Amino acid sequence: MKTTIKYLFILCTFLSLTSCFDIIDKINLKADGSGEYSLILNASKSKTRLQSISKMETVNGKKVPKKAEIESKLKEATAVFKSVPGITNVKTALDFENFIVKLSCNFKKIENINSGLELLKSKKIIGKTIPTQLYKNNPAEKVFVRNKTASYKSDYDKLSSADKEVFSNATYTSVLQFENMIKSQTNSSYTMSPNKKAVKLSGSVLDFILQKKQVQNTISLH
Amino acid sequence: MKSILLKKHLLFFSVLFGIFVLAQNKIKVPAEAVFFMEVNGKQLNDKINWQQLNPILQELNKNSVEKPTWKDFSDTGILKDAKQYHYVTFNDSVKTYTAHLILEDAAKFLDFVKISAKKELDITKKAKYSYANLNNDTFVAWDGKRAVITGIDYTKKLPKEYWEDLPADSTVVVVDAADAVVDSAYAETDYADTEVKPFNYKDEIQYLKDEIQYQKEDIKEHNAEIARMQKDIKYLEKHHKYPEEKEPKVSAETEEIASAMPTEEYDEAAEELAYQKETDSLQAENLKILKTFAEKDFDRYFASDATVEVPKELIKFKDPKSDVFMYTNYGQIFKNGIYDRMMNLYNMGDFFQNVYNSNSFYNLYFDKDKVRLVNNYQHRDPKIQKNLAAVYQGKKNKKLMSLINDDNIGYYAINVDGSKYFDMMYNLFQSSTDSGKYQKELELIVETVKIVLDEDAISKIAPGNGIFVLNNLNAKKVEYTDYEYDDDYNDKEVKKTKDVVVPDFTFAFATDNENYWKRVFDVLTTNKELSEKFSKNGDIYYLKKDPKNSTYIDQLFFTVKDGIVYLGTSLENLGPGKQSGDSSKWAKDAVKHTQSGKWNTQKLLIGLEKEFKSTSEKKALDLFRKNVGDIYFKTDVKSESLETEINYTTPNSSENSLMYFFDFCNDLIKIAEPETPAAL
Repeated sequence: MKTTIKYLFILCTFLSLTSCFDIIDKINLKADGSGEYSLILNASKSKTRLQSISKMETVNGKKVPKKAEIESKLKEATAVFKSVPGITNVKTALDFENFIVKLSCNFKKIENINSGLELLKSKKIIGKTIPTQLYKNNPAEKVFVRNKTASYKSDYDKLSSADKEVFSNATYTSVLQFENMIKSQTNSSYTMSPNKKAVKLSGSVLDFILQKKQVQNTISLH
Repeated sequence: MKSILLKKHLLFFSVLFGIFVLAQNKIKVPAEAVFFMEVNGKQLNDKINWQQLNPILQELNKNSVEKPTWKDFSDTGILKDAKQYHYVTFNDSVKTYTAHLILEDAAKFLDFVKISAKKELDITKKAKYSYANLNNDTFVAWDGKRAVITGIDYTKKLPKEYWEDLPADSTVVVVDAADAVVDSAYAETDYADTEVKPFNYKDEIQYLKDEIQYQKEDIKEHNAEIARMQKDIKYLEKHHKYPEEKEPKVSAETEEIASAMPTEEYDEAAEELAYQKETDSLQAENLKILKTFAEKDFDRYFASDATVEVPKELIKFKDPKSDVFMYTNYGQIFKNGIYDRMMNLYNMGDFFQNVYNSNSFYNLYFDKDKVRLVNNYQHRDPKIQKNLAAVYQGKKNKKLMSLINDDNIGYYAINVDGSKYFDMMYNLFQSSTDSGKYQKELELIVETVKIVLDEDAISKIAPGNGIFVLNNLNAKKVEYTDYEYDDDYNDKEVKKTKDVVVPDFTFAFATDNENYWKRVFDVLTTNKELSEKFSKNGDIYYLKKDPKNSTYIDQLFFTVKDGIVYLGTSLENLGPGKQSGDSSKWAKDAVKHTQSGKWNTQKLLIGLEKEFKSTSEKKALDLFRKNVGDIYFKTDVKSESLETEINYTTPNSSENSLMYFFDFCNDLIKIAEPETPAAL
């Protein structure tokens, strides 16, 4: 029976036209521990589908948020981020024509980003399952840590096949740039730039949800 | 003398015939079954190539340990060419699914049941049969020749107050006091018998004895628990802590003593244990009730001969030549399902119950090169059925069907009588008041609507002939933003393009009032706000192209000519196209039927090709191209029903359309299998 369901799932997957989006986060870390953080959600590749969906009230049984609702949520997130000590120059951009959301800010120390995310979670702007304690940096010892995130497999399994479909072509890219050169790293899934000052991790969102790819990495700097 | 002798003979034969009839104790399918299915095993068996099918079935029946429960269908012990009967009955608290099977080999069947159950079966032996529960709600009974599988779902009916206590607002209808809530579970189990069984004190004594035994066991458990707690209290008084736990002995008992741990886990474990205990006890109680229901059913079945008697109402449209016949009573499904209570909460509840109050009959045929499904829909109220039939007997319109042309991917055409639609709706509203609720009010509303609406004028605007044609699927270049990285992983925004599949369609409908539509379109192009979006060029009105618009529809054109209102995505398709051979045949066919449609799936897949980019997607596309056939359907009024025939042509080289599905499954299995390193 389980197998039959699997085949039916393949059939449904085939029949529904897939959508895709990319998540990109980037950290530019200076030697003193301060730096720049940016997050981009790019659904531009699916804009034809999204423009059609935006005209609908619901999709897959869920309410389609209106432009004003998204704008207000983003404004709220900006205000929360601005209130975090150590975080400055918070900028957000919302491109409804291309379905791109951008958030960027400067931080005194990377842990400020963790606090910002924690605050967003406590204000229920982001979901309770989103990890917040993402980074750790020790400028004295020149060690930067990208923490391990929990598995979302069980949450993913609970989704309907239509909702799972959303993740099928989604990608995640994480870029970490440093002022100092990289001495070593523990996760070889991150590719290193030729100047040895940056690493990049990219893959399908599904691989990270199902933990086929890991995000944790400990980077030692010169 | 002769006549007396003759009378005596007649009397003798009448009595003999009567005895013979009484001896034929047929098994009756309940008249109130909401679903009934008869599988013509002989015909299906003739169409199945078992050698080819068995490995596919095995693959589909892989259990969790990846071992098929049987190697060959004959291992199931079920007689392949015998008729199978399946039916579903439900009332407010009991839902039952029953399947009657004829056995070829009872021993094999028992083995099959044992393997399928994946547990030791607790077999109860009765005088004429044996039975066992496969799980908490499925039971199987068998003798040497026959078997019955029954799945029972019992939900204790909630008291009426539960529904009445739901948050009330102005729309809540007070449930009629006459609708006294009675858990009809026990009454329902007697559905196949028309007579009411007399009270049997012996059964009652046995039931009470069982109950005492159950209560005694419960008391025993409670006493043991109390004794353990008292012991714990004494220990706590003396030592101010729980006794140290010795090295765990892995047994059921140690789980019980888990509560001795004075930690956070202790509370959780104890709570979990208590919860589990309560659940187990509820499940045991539930199983006991279900067993009673199942046993009653089995007693009745095995007391009968093998003949199954199906009420005429259920097989009204059965074709003996069909491979599978099904009947569904949507009215009852709607009424007795969750909707029953839900509908009572809304003013329109009665109306919807009335709309769904229908029977549907399905005859399924696996022909050589096509699968044919014939559905007969019949409303249970003859008056409404007559109204419905009148709606579905509209005038035909040849002009519209000229839109069907050689290049189309598919079409859906409809020829109904719009003016009769109002009569049907009035009737549905008026006959929705069986309970007498708001009868007068509804009559007044219907009468007022009749005065306000000029049905003739409305039906002239759109008499009921229409067609939707999917002309083509075109590729449209869409620009999107992407991010690229340089050697130092600095990102850069870049503009790229990709192809998106967009539909090219035409929707057209007949009108007897062209001026009305021209006025509507003129307003669109002259109104201050709307004219920003709409424009006019001669007789053609159109939605202006918006460069920012990336949706599937760029432009819409509409016009009215020769009594037809056209709306489409391309100018060239706002009128008749090139017809020859096949398309002309389909156009003529579409004129004949109330509803009809055809989809050329191969053309549809060619159009969708651009949406499938990855290797696995392309692989899947190739598979579907190889296997997917065309669909054609038509609806007409026939024998006091609406008859819809759906034909699905099977394109590949399978032996027949039944084997086609299994071959298709086989291909799907292959594509779903992970590639072996050698294959890579």
